[in-house]
Amino acid sequence: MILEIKDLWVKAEKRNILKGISMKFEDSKVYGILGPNGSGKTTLAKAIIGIQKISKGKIIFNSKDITKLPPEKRAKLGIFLGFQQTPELEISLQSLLFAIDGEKAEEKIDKLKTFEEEMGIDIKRNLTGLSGGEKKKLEIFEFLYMQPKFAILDEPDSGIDIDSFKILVKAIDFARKEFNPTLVIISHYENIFNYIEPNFVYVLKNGVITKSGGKEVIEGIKRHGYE
Amino acid sequence: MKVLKGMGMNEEKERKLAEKYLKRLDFEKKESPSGYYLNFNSLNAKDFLKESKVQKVQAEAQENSLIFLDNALSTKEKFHKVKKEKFGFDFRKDKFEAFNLAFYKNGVSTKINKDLRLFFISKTSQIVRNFFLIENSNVKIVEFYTGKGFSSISNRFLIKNSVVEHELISNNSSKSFVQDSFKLESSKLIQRSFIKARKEPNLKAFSFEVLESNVIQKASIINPGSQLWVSNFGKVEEKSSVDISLRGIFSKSSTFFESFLESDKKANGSDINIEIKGIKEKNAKVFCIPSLSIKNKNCNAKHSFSTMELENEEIEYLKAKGIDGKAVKKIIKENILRWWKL
Repeated sequence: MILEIKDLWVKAEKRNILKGISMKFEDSKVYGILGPNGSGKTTLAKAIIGIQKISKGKIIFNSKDITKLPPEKRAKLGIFLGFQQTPELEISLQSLLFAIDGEKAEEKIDKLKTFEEEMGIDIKRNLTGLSGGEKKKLEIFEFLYMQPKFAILDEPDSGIDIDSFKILVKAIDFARKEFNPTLVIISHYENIFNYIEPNFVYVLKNGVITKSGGKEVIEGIKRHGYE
Repeated sequence: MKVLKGMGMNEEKERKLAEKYLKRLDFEKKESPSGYYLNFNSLNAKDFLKESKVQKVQAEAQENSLIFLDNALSTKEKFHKVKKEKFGFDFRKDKFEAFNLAFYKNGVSTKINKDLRLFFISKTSQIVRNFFLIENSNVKIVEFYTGKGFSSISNRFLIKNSVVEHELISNNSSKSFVQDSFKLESSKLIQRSFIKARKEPNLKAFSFEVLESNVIQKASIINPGSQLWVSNFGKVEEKSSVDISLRGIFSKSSTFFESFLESDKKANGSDINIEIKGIKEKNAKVFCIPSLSIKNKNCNAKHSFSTMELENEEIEYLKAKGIDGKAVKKIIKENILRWWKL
């Protein structure tokens, strides 16, 4: 097991967003987290990376309690969050990668040149004034660059066109072959799981897990929705 | 990289700084001329009278596509004829001449009609006046002031049928002022300023006359002191575009940005845009005073100004990517300041 969440509670503005969630993630497996808008999916992702304050519970990573670890240290351990929405920043992805890795970044970026070109992104451009799709593609590029052990991609499929979707699927296939991370894909559309087959699925609604299981859970959602 | 020696630039520290900076500018990667390290304050009136020295310097300058003349000559009535021969017009009729006479201490007049790059580095605590006449050329000029004391820079540019990149780096100067003026005809000017002001008030004033030309002015300012920035477009005429954008980091002080912009009646179809963005630290005050006078209905003019404090969302995003707290603020600031190079 690479990561375990035990009885996780998150409270915001006097309301419980997550209500005692427990989950287990194994090495190199693909997980789907589905749920309607406002079910707490993004809050869960932020709690795992450490930028969401939790009121109760534990997060164990590689047998180590990381509940009180700051986000930058969690990232250095190999946890990655591909954000659903990135802030406007007067900084380029390239600068960010150089800040993380120094001179080594150049060589690592070079190895991903093909993806940069296929995605049609410019990593030297500042993270301002970008479309939702462009931001998503930069997050995917960063995911490939970082080669994390445990990656959460928060709605990587929303706001991107069909060609970008194909590149996303290709990038994930590439990642699985190259560094084979545990992959957690958050989405409220089941379509992405037609292309990236999950080993296990969690359904989140109103801050609790309402269903979990194999890909048959997705079939149930297709037929009956989240009700 | 070719370094011109024996031209008043003999200090090892400055030479090393120049070489380091030239490397950053990628001068070496470009084709001939391969880059010059040139002190404009090289010749004085006495030197000019010594024919042999003048010939030697002129030969060297010609070889390197440079023509220069010390402005000390402009104070001597008897040299007006020479200047007219050298520069093709009468300095006495130019207003800049009067300005120079009043404030003159150092500087140079440079006529450029070939593609070239000029680099000027100085730890000056003095007044520098440069006059550039640029025609039918593609030119890059870099001025780098490393001094911590008083400095005053005033450039006058007359640019015709040319593309000019002008970079001004003013490092650690205090009580300084820059007062540059530009007149453009059928040309493009990209001007970038990086200013690290300190303690004392600073003035940066730029005036422009623009005819059928494009002007891009970008600046990054670290400003612990008080800063007054004035971009004065006294005249923007037809088929022109002006794009000014400033980025600043404002801390513990008051900063004034004043932009005055007047489009001429002839400014048909011209575009004008002034944008100021800043990161404001606690207790800093930033004032922006836009003044627009648009005399042509078909001239598009925009002015925007915004400041922000570093948001938690941004800091958390970068932390989640593996950058620690102190480094997060540093990287955001550095990138705002590096932005001017892009």
